[in-house]
This record gives sequence, structure tokens and C-alpha cells, in this order.
Amino acid sequence: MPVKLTPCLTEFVKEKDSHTIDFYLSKGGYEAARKAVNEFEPAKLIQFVKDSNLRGRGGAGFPAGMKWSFVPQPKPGEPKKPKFLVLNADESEPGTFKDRLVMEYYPHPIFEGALIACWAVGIETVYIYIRGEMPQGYKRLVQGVNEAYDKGFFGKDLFGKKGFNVDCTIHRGGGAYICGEETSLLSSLEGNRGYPKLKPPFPAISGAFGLPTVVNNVVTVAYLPYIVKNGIDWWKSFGTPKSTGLMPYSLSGHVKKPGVYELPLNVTLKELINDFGGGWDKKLKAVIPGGSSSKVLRMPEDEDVMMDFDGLASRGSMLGSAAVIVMDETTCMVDALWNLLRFYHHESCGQCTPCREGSGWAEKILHRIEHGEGQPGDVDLLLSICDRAIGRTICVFAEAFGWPIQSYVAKFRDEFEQHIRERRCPLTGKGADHYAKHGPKKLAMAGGH
Amino acid sequence: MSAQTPQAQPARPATVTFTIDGRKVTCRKGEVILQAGLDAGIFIPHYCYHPSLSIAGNCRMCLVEIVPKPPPNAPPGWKPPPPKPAIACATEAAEGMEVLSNDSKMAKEAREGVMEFLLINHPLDCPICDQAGECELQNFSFQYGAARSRFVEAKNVKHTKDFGPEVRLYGNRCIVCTRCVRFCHEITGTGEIHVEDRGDRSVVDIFPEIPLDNPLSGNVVDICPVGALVSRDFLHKTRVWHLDETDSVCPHCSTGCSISIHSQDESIQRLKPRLNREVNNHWMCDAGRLGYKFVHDQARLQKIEKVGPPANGARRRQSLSFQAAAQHLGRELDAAREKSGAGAVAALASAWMTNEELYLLRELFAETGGTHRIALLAREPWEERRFKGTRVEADRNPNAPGQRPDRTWLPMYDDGTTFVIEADRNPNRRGAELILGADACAPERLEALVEGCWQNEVSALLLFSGMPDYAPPARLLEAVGRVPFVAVVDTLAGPLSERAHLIVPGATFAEKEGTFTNGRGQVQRLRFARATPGQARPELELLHLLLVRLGRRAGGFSPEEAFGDLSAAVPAFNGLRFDDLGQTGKRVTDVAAALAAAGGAAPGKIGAKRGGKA
Repeated sequence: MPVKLTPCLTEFVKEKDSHTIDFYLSKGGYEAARKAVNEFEPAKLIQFVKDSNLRGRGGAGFPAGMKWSFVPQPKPGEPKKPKFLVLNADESEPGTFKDRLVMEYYPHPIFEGALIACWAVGIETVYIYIRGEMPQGYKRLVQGVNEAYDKGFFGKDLFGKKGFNVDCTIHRGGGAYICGEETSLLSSLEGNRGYPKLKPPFPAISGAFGLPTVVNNVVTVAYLPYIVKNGIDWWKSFGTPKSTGLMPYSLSGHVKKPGVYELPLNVTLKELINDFGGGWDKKLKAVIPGGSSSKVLRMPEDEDVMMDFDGLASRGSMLGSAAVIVMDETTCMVDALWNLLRFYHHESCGQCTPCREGSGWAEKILHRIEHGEGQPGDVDLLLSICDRAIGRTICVFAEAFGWPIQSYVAKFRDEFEQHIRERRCPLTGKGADHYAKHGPKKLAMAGGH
Repeated sequence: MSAQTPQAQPARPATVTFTIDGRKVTCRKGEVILQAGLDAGIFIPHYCYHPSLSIAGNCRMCLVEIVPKPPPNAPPGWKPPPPKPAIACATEAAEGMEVLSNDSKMAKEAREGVMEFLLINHPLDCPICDQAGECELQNFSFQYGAARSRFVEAKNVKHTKDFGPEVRLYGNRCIVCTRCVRFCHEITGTGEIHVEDRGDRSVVDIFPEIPLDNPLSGNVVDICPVGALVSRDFLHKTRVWHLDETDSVCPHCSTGCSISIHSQDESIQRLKPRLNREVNNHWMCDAGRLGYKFVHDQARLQKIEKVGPPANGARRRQSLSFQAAAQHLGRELDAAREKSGAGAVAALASAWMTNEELYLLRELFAETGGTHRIALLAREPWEERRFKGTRVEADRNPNAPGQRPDRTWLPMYDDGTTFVIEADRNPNRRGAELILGADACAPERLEALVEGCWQNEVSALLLFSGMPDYAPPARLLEAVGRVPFVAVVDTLAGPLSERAHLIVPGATFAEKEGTFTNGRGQVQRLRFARATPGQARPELELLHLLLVRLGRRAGGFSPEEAFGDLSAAVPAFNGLRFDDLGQTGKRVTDVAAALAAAGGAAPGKIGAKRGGKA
């Protein structure tokens, strides 16, 4: 059965004023939150979300209901301690733009989902941490929150429930990729340098300001109203048993129609590219399936892969943020990897030694290879850097730059070797002039960039 | 706490026992592997971890392997997960845990990896680096470094700049362990240092126009594991392997920080604090750190001189041997007493004298002038500064939120203070109060004695100072000028020695053996770090000779013997033995009670000691 486009969050994004609360209310907005508050006990609601098997749409794919259940609830008679819901809208993974679309054009499901999460976990304060480089999204979120306050969807005694108070604050990031990592996001939110924190304790126990905190991706919570409204069976009718529901895929690169495609989680890569992305005239070479830090897939061997959590895991990659970047045969894989490493080198927070030094070192080596100055042994050195960094840092940033290196080398090693052998990039021609001019002498390296 | 978590206390056993490389280690529950190992004498290499700062876990040098244990309800045929290194500095030791450090191939490889990463952008300028010889990069390179670098790229370049009056940054050498950042946030609370930029451009820096100029700034040099932050005072002075280290006590305030005097031949090159959880933790203040300079001052008194009355516009000066000076001084004191009675002999002791010197002075005056004729000179107070450590262990202990685990060092004082620069700028006022009696140290006694000089009641005055930066009040100076015979024992030439009829050069804290009693009653030892210059002798020797002359003592002078007599005679010191004082000293029995017995008020502002050593 061919997979059909199933717009849910993206259904109305092209309509005028889709971001306003009036538009949202005309589509039955905030009824799901009312239903959740009136018909579900908090514990039952957590179980409901657990049963729906809604997994995080941010990258790690952690089940949302499970995450909520880790938050310690006060025992009867104990005083209530503040807890926080932090919505991660620091969408910075290269190739990912689903959160941005939702925030800019249809933000109210986010607020409604936040209310549902707050009711389930007993939270009174929501922070939305939005990436600094998204001014439009920030404007729309602020407008949306203000509208929601005006209509009485934030504030005190919501939906007629005495004591159900929720406040929402929008926090703009300073422009750091690492602040999309939940603990460094919390550091940044607290006003500190955006360094990831040691775990344990996990945010659910000691998060923002040392208090229990749920960190969810904005799109994860934006699906909550639909699940509450339409029921678990509706949600489970999409996708596979382990990867239920819908996912907004960010499709970019060498396709005719790049964009966000909201699809059930049982679409294959081939369908995504050809049926929705409009295909591409040249032969495809590689696809990054889940954001730039996921392991690359080689085409056409991997074109039948199921684009869900398990399908991609079975090919050694991951769904991540579902950002699919398609590369055709004209793409130099060394150049592409160097480009990625420039990003990771720039964005490493610099806290842990292996990532701080390893990302820069790898970038310099790739720069060299791409510019015709590679040396025999460089490729193995790259792999060795990855081995020495991965798994040895506070957060998974070392994996984020290590996995691409490992997978590009594993799948396209011949291209790397060709660069080194021919002392230039065979596809872009980089390094050829240098070699002609300077001969086999070493290039003067320009440091970082 | 107990109301909210009633089950928290009984459920937690006080200690856990685990193994590192097969060696059994027992530590307090909640302690991290690294610290438990350090306490048990097992060293796990580390850069960012510091026992008196919060845990950052960023250097990744202390990676160890923790052998996976089957969960309690493990199915049959349970297979351990693949090993993953864990950082020893942030992983709490658990009962029965099996930690592999040097025995683990994986941990060794992980450390080799970290060492390589640390050194790729490091300038390797050891030949011109002050830290060379005491550098953890060098030390761990020795264990985990590679003989050849695989790094052929251009190195990153970072800035070099003066952070403040004491500290210079060589950014290229920085490994971003953030110890200095944490120190300035957590101990001084001033926050001058931060990490600038990201990734491998990261380097510690200060904010524009805000220099690192707090009273404890020099400590960032001590805690810097590499040569990034260096002392401007010590900069390029010498190589550290030429230095001799002598444990001593800082004399510049009544905190009495445990220090190490680093000297080359006869020259003190720098002072470094030593860990003493009862006194100063790991720290010392900048004033104390630079407080060795007077030892080498040009104004040091070096000659024993008998100074005659003015003749032809100048006073006649006659050199004496030390023996002769002691005899001369003894005769003058005797003559004054015989001529005008015991009350005509007086002494001005100094709060910079050691306990032993004060005790011998007391013994001497029990024979001659009477102990009520002793008053105390001391330097004027400065502003007291208290520093609170903010390290809260509960941050990483989710089982006991808000609960501060029992670490003996935190806080040292009841109000949470971990380091104090005391207002009293004298190292041994407390000792003087205990030995001479609180009355002798009261300003009223000094005032009465000065008044006696003005009234010409005093005909012989034995004056001890030894205090640098001491400005005697004009009234005191004039009073001293009226006394017919004044013997001044001092280290630096100044207005007091100008008025002396006998100048006996004394020894500084670095040149004598003895003990100081700090404001909280901690008795700590000074040790010889260098010879006295010229004819200068330790004051104790002079007092000993005066007592030998009177037949009260015999043989050579000995601080140990004097301390023995002191501990027998002065109740507060009962039970203390010179040899037992060790590196960190011992507390006098009970400061408040001892002071009350010595006739003084209970010590003000000094909190009672917190808990006992576990």
C-alpha cells in the first residue's frame, strides 16, 4: 500500500493567518487540552501517552510518556515542588527544518500540547527555548503565547480546573548548536555558558535550576493534541508498531521538491525521494537519513530502507531528526564530510578534551585531503580520532562528528584514497592548482577556516 | 531535612567498600572514585578535578573501567554489556564496585587518547615554561604520552596576557580544565575568569577592564595543572627543580596558613600554600604569598651593635659578638633592677614571636622584671575577608537532594566559610594571650607601660619586633626614646632600631624553628628554610642565653625543649608534643576555656570547630 501524505501539523501551513489563535480555534483548537484535563487523571494521561508509544521527534526518539514518568511526583501530604517543562526549539541540526515550519506557521498545537504535558506531569511553568537564528519563529511564538494568554489558555485555573495554572516563557538562544542538547540547553536557560552537564542526575530529577524538568521537542508535544483528540488507535494506525504515528520529514539536497513532508513512519527512502521529493535526474550517491550526525547511507543499496526508528537502526544509522539530505553522483564525499566537520568544529562547545581537540583535528585533516595535501595514513588517522573521542565525552557531540566520519570512510573509502593518491579532489578540482604551483610541498595550513 | 526525607538517613550506610585495580578501598558513601582513591593512596590521573572545587568532569583524563555487575534479577546466561569508560571524578563509589584503572587496557588507551588530544594544540614550550617540572602534562605524558606526534597541522594560537597584578595567562598552554573559572566563582565569588570562545578556540579569559585582582588571585596559579596561569612574581625566576621546599606557616595574619617555602640556596623564590583542612584548605592570600620579600630586604639588620650616646654629631657604634651582646644585655637588665627595683625593667614582646620565644621571655621576666612588666606589640588590623565555598555535593547526588554530605573540610567555619583572611595581621597573638596572659596582650597594658616610660619609671627596656610593615605610634617611639637603655631585637632597620642602645638582629619566620598558635588555636611548626643573614640569630637563642646567664637553663638552645617546658607549664598547651605537630599542627585543648583561665575574654568571631575528623 503506497504511503500517503498525511498532513496534520502541516495541514494548514499554507493558509492565510494559520499562525493565529482564531484560525486554530476555528479548526477545533484547544479542545483536546480541555478533553485531557476533564477526562484524564494525570497518571492515566501519562499511561495514555505511554500506550500511544509517541517517541521524541527531536533526535533521540525517547518515548515521551516514559520520560514524563521519571519525574518524581509528590507523595500525598508532601508540599508541591516546582517542576518545569522545557520545550526544545533549538533546531540546529543541519538539514532539519520541521520545528521551524511548525513554529512559524502553526504554533498553537505546541502550546496546546504543552498544556497537556503540564496536566500529565503536574507542571506549572513552560519554557520554550528557541534557536536565536529564528527571528520569525520567535515572533510567532511570542504572538501565539500572548494570544493564548488573552484567550485564557495560559494563566490560572485553566479549563475550569481549580489549581491548574500554567505559565509560558519564550527564551531565545544565543546561537549555539550544542544548546540543542538538553542539559546544555538547561545550562543556557539558567543563564550559564551552554555547557552540557554531567549525567546523572538526569533532568527529570534535577534539571533547570536544580528542579525536576521534562525536556521535549516542540513537535513531540505538538502531536499530543491530535493523539488525545483522535485516540491511540488513530495514532497507531500510522507507522509500525515500534515507530508509531507521523513524522515531519525535512527533505533537502538533490531532490526536485525539497521541503517538509509529514508522513507515517513506514515510508521507504525511495518513496520519500521519488514520490514526494520528485526524484532527481542524476544518479544518487548517498543519503543522510536523520540529520547530519546520523551515519550516511549509500545509494542505491540502501534505497529500500524503512525510514523509521528501527529500519534505520538496522542499517546502522538512525532516524534522528528525520532530516533527509540527498546527494547525487556529482557530490564529493570528502568535500561533504569536510563541510560537516567545519560545522562540528565550529560548534563543539569545547568542554571535553576529546571533542574539543578531535573535531578541530579532523577538520584540518579533511581540509588537507580535500585540497590535495592528504597523506597516506590520513584516513586511518581520522578513524583513530573518532575511536578516541566517541563515548568519552559528557554529551554525544563526539558521536555527532564521529559517526559521519566513520560512515563516510566506511562507505566511500575509495574516494578518500583517490584524493590522497591524485593530490586533488577529482570532482571539485580543489587542490589541483596548489599542486601545480607548489608541487608536493606541504600547504601552509590556514588553521580553522 | 529529616521531616521531608525520614528514610534518607538510616537507609544510607556510612561507608562503602570497593576495589581499584584489586586493591580494597573504603570510603564515605557518596564519595567519588577518584577522591576515594586519592585518600587511599591510589592515584588516578586527572586535570580538572580539584578536591576543593566543584566537579566539572571535562578533562576526561581520569577515565576508568567499571566492571559491569549482573543486575539483581539478571536472567540466567546474563552477558555483561560492552565496557564503556567512566570518569572516576564524577562516578560515586558503590558497594562492591570493581574499578579498573591501571589494570584496564581500555582505560589506558582512553587516557592515551586524551593525552594526545591535549597536546596537539599545546605549544610544547617546556624549556621556557615556568610550570616545567611540576606540570601534569609532563607527568602524564611520561605515563601515557606517545613518543611521536601524529599531528602535522598548524597549531591553534591563543592570546598571552596579564590577568592581573599576580597572574599571567599563556593561552596556548591552556587545557580548559576550568579549575580557575570555578575557583573564581566558587571560592572568591568574584567570577573574573571565564571561558572565551568555543571548541578548540576555547581559552580562559577575563572581561575587558576587569583584571583578576582579588585577594586570593594567586591561587589560580597553584591550581592550574599546566603552565597556562603563571605567577608574575615567580615568572622566569628559576626552574622549579632547583627549589628546596620547607614546610612552614605564613606569618601575615592570624589564619596562619600552612605554607611551603620554596627556596634556592639561601634565597626564597616563592611561597606556596599547603593543604590543611583545619586552617586554610588549599588556599592562601596574595598578601601572604608575596609576604616573603621582607626577608631579603636591603634594610635587614645584620650587625649586632652597641650604640653609644651622640658624640660629634654621630652616635658611637661598637660591634659585638652574639655572646657578648647577651652578656651586655643581661648586665644592663640586672643593673637597672638593682638601681631602681624590679619595676624598672620592662619588655615589649611582639605578636610575631613564636610560642617558645614568648615562653622563654615569660621565664626570663619571672626572674627579672616580673611578668606584669611585659606588654605586646602588634601590627594594626586590616579588613577581615571571609570566603565561602559554594561547592554543593547534592548537585550530583539525586538520592539526597539538598543534603550536604559530610565532608570534613566543608565548611571549616560554622557560617560556611572555607577561607578567612583574619583582621589580625599577626601570626601569634593567640599564643601570646595564652602564654603571657590576656592582660599582657591588652592595649591597656601597653598604654600603662608607655606611660611608665614617659614617667621615667622604666630604665631598661627589652623590645622585640620582627614585624615588617610595622609603624610604631609616635607616642610609643617617643616613650622608647626616653628610656636610658633600650635593647631592640628586630629584623628590619627602622624607627625602633634607631632608638636602640643595643641592636640585636633577629630572624624572620623563614629562619627559625618554633611554633605559632593561630587565631583558632591551631599550633603549627615553623622550620628553618634559610640561614640568618650576618650576625642575626633566632630570638630564642638570645633569650636562652639570658636564662643560661641566670642559671635557669643550660646547654644549647632548643625549640623542642622550650616547647616541652611550655606545654607542661601552660595549661592550654598540655598534652601537645613538638614532634607530634606534624605538617598541619594540632589544636590547643580548648581555646575559650584556656583564654578564660588566662584571664581573657572568649575569642570573638571565631566559630567553634565543626565536627571531628572522620
